[in-house]
Amino acid sequence: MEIITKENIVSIVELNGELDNESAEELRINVEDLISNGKVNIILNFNELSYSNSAGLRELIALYKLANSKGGDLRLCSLQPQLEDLFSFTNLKKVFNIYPTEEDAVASFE
Amino acid sequence: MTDQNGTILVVDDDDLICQLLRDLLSRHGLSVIVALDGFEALKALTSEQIDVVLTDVNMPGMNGIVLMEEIKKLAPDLPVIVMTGWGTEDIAVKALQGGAFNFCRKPFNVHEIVRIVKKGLEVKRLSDKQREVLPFIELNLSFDIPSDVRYIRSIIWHIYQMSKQLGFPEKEFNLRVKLAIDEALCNSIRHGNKEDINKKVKIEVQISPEKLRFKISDEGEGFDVSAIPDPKDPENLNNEGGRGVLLMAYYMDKIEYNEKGTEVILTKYANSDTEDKKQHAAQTQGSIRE
Repeated sequence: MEIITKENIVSIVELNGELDNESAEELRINVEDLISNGKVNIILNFNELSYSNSAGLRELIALYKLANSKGGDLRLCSLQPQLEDLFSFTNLKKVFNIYPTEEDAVASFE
Repeated sequence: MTDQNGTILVVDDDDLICQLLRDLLSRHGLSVIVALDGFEALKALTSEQIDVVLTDVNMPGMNGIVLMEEIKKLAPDLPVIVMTGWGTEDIAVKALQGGAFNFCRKPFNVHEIVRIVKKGLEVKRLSDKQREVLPFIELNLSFDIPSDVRYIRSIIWHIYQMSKQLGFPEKEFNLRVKLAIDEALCNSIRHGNKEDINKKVKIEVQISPEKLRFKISDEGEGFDVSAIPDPKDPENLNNEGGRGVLLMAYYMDKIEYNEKGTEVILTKYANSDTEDKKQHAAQTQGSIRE
């Protein structure tokens, strides 16, 4: 999985590929690094993410809780249909703030 | 090849070219269906038995390369011949890289175009012949892996390749089966064998075009699925774990555990409307909710 981080009003992390046991750890390291540097408002852009297993979901929830505990938030945007289905079925749409586009997600922090 | 019969779908926005190709190919004993754009062509593919597609590249609406990509999704083995103008070798290369069977240049050399179309028909017949036996094949694969999640990706890849080869629907595999096997293997490695590298996980796979069946066993002490709190319950939504078993039940048609909780059998049918599948899906959902 490829991870690209952009700095804006918030930190935007673009996920590319698949979120599984191995890449979930890579994501954790990247996001924990942002949070430890005080960048606690984070958007994960899922536009290029085609797959996540439960290990990926587990990591997302852990990072969401971490961002919240530091006074920030972790929001998601641009989910592909397969991941929309996954988040709907697991009721995780009730946990995360999810936006259709990156612009919408950025605007939500303003 | 002695029998040259076959149906060719000619796609070109130029009516005159279509007429020319119809006359030419008909003289060689072939049936010709004409479509004046890509959308019409895709419609014809769902309603007619087509053996070879001959398409222009430059067409308004949907160009020939995009059309070919759409055709490959519907019928991966259908030979697509792309017609390009002189001096557009880059487009021809792009078409071949995208899966085109061959290309020919406009204006045509009639002998060349007939030769390429007939070659396409030959390839199609060979592929149809090979597919005839598919309903009677069942492939059995077996893996015996140490308890390390890093093996999961490769195992899924091998199973995917074999399933694809035997004609199990790729979409069904990618959207559902892949996640379910991932979860089952992860459970066996992490919760069953507690990632003890000396303990093995055994995976026995039966692959047929109609059905995939996975038997996954670990050497752990047993895992009580019913003890997992419902991860969809609002009380548990913020829990980090506990979703794997739920996802397996959601994406597969049938799930069976042995009494000890060291073995799970997952079944997925290619045709999601079978009665067997519906019954088992209902049972599985029931047992997860209990």
